[in-house]
Amino acid sequence: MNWRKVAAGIAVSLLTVSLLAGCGSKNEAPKATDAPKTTADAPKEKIELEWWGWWASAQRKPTIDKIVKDWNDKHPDVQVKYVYVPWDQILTKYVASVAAGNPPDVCSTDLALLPMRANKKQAMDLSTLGAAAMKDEFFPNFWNAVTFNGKPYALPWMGDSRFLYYNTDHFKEVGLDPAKGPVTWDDLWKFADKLDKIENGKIARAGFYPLAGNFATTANISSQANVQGWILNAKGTMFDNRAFPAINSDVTVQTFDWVKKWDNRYGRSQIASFMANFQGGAVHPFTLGKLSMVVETPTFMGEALKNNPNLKMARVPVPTPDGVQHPAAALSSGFGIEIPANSKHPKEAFEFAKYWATEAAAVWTVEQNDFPANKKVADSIKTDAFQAVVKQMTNTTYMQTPLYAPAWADAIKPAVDDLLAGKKDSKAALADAQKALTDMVRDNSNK
Amino acid sequence: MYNVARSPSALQTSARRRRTATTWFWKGIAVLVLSGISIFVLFPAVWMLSTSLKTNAQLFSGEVTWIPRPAMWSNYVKAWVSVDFTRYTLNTTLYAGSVVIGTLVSNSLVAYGFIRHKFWGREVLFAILLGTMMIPGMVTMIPQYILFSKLQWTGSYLPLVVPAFFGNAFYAFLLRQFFMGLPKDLFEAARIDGAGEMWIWYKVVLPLSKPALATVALFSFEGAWNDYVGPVIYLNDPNLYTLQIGLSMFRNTSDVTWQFVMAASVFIMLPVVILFAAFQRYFVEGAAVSGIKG
Amino acid sequence: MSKKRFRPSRGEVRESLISYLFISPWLLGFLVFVAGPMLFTLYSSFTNYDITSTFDWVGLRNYTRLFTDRLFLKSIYNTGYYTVFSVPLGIAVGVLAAVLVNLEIPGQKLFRTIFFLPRILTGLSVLLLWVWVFNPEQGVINSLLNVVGIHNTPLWLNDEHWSKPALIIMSAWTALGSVVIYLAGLQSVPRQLYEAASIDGATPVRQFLSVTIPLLSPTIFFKVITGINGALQSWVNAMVMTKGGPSDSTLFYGLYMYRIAFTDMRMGYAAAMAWIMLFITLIITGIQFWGSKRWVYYEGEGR
Repeated sequence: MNWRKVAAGIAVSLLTVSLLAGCGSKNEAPKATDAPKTTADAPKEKIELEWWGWWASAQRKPTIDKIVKDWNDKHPDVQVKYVYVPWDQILTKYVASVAAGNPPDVCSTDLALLPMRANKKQAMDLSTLGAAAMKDEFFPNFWNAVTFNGKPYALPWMGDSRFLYYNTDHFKEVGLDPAKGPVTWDDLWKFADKLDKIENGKIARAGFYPLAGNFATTANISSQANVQGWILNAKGTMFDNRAFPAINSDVTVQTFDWVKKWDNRYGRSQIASFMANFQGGAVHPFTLGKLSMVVETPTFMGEALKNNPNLKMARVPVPTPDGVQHPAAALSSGFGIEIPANSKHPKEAFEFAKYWATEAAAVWTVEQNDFPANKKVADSIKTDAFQAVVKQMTNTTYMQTPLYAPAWADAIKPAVDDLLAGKKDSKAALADAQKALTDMVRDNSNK
Repeated sequence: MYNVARSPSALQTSARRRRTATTWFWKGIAVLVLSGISIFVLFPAVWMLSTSLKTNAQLFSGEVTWIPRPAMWSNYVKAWVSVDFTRYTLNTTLYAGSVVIGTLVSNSLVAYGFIRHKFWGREVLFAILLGTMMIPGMVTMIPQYILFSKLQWTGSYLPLVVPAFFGNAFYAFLLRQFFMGLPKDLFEAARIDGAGEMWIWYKVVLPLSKPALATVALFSFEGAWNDYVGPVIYLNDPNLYTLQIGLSMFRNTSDVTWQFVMAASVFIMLPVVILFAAFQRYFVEGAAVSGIKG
Repeated sequence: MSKKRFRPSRGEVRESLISYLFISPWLLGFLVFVAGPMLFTLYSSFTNYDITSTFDWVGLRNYTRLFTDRLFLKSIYNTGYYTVFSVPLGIAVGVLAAVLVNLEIPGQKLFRTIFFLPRILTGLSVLLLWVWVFNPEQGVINSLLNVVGIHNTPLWLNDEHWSKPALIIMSAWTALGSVVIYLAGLQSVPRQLYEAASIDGATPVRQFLSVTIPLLSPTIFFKVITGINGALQSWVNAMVMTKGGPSDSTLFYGLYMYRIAFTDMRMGYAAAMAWIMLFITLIITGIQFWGSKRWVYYEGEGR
């Protein structure tokens, strides 16, 4: 029996394990180290803040590095360490670390589920750190996004809006004035009459389809969820006082009817096949020239032109049923920065958060072609295109996720599916959605 | 089928010839069927390869091209350098390697323990063992994270590697099935000769189980190599990140660069394929049992 | 199990202790790393645990609520449907492929490597590729159907009646990757048996049924158990490819649990779901073990 071999094997394994473990714990950032006394003043503890974000691509990372370096140069006693966490797991990891008591000092997040995090004591109430004074620096809809029970639980950082983009070449081709985009829902229909190209029963080009593009809040992207934007655009609501489901109102029924009309226009299987061609986000029908008008985010123009430099496009505010713009004609997503409830260095973390939402936001906006939630930053960028987005802010709303229905989109999607499949009419589909939402709210609010 | 008039030896020869012809016929069919299935099997891989070689313009042309011209092999270089893949490869190799060692050793011991002799509580413990793989991991994830946090193991590879040295239901079960197919007489013979149980385990059971062990090694390697959620949750230092985390870096929130994602996916996949191809003979080494089976 | 004797012989005690020693790595790891979290989730299934703010005892409320939860019941149906079809299909595909790939034919090594690919082609990119495969207009499946003359092709992932079949077909492809496990099992089938059978005039098919299958049965049984287990817990495919739709037709058990756990943060409710799944799987597994006495043949146990 070669015990020596067995023992050697076990020793090697243990060695490997301890090596890996050693690598791990050696590189674990020490939370605070004593800086040597160099002056006669009271010694300053050098603090290292751990900051989690989801940017690591070749496109985004350089800006992050620059921002971190700028801060670290200016604040030798409060150093920031950026840690990349993949977007799809950052909230899970965040919650786990808060639960375990070793959270990051500051974390970037999507603001969609902020009310939940505030309510469940995961995010820190920033009014204790003096955040309330910053209220007027930000666009009102973004400040609302970070507020829960009247207190701010995050600082808004980037936001966006929605525009109606249209292909000017297509307009010219069918005799529409490329300088005049659609203004009402009727315009969309009439323009599409000219723009559609159906060949052999298949859609070669669609003029418009309300469920294409991006008209919902980020966390819930799927084509069915886009009804969210249209409901708000039609001055409907989904939740009363942001808490109680009220989705089966007349306005929502009319909106669903309208969406169904578009679906019937093309034929269910034709439009389903057409839309399926672009699932997975690999390609966008508008970029490919297969869709003439679509609702999308402000950054879409840059991305589309990058992928298809021959594209000729323009944008206008999102059309409303009667053509009049109002504060909910478009909606926005929101990203912000939070401090975990049990963060170890809240004051310093807040300083960095402020920096991130103001000076850093300015750098990011310019380099990444994004849109800041901070008004001063927005006003400092004087290009026409940018100011057009600023103007759009008055017509942009932020729908905060209802506290007791964070998965609201999961109740809406089947309703839309049923509607489009012809299983239910608008009223029935919405009645079911209302019931599902009510159940959801009841389950989540049960103490 | 048999021609009675023929002599016995000629009978055997012609029967053998018929067998050979039949065998070759069936083999031919097999190759055809396999080739057909292979096309079905390969197309996602081919599509991945094809996408990885495209330019932005080709990706967005909306056309279905299988062989892009020109083939942008430079995408692979670009993908490799845009993220710290060299370091991630090293990390992932160490991680997967340790997991393989731990899995092989612990599970072969455990499986042998379950089959060598009846003992009090065997069925119940085996049921519990299987039970551990029947509970969805997502609900145990947070309590486990809190546990490891109390042990101060978070931020390192310990929560990912150490449990591999303590058995795993899937692999223990697999080896148990295989071990149960080994002739018990061999064990008895060795015991009669005075061999200890560890000797039997090491010198009798393991050598006869090379294919099963190779399978366990390959699968546990692949599992660790492609592990995503585990490393994401437990690692905080970018210097320790794995290949899958590196892959995620290509996915911006809005603009996914598909050709690089595919290129990275291809070269992440390659080592596992190469390992399998290189060590194939272990998977098909027959259990050279002679003289026992009758 | 033998009846507990009042006084076990010293030999038996010694044998039992040795067995315990061999399984001690698992026992130890279980007690330290697994038992605690598992029992914690069991306890939390009787509470309103939400990880960070609430942890109050609510008794059987989660369990009783589950039985009136329409989506929970739907997820059981969806998952059951998926399991019932994907597991047998996967095993049939795997066994046949393994037998084919085990033959002494030219290109054997190449085929084996090719068939191994589905096992490692996992991950987001591959799932999205499959979405494209099922594309109603340009996808491979419908194109093939068109070639064979079927023009009224289904919308697959966009149709609530075809979404599960599409995922089942995809699972058959993934099952090919399990060829490796069957290969290991096939190696323990002694060549002499095949030779003896063919001398007796058995056709390859007959050999397959009388020699291969019985000697492969321990491996097949393993795949049955792990296949059922895997199919019951399968959800990532639905999450990435269909998000549970259309019309909740691919709302699998695991997907619904994930939503409850990580969007609603109702960890107690999710824990209750997890334990119900555990018991369902245990019962099905138990039935399989009981039935296995009839068809699983362990050479080592002798017959």
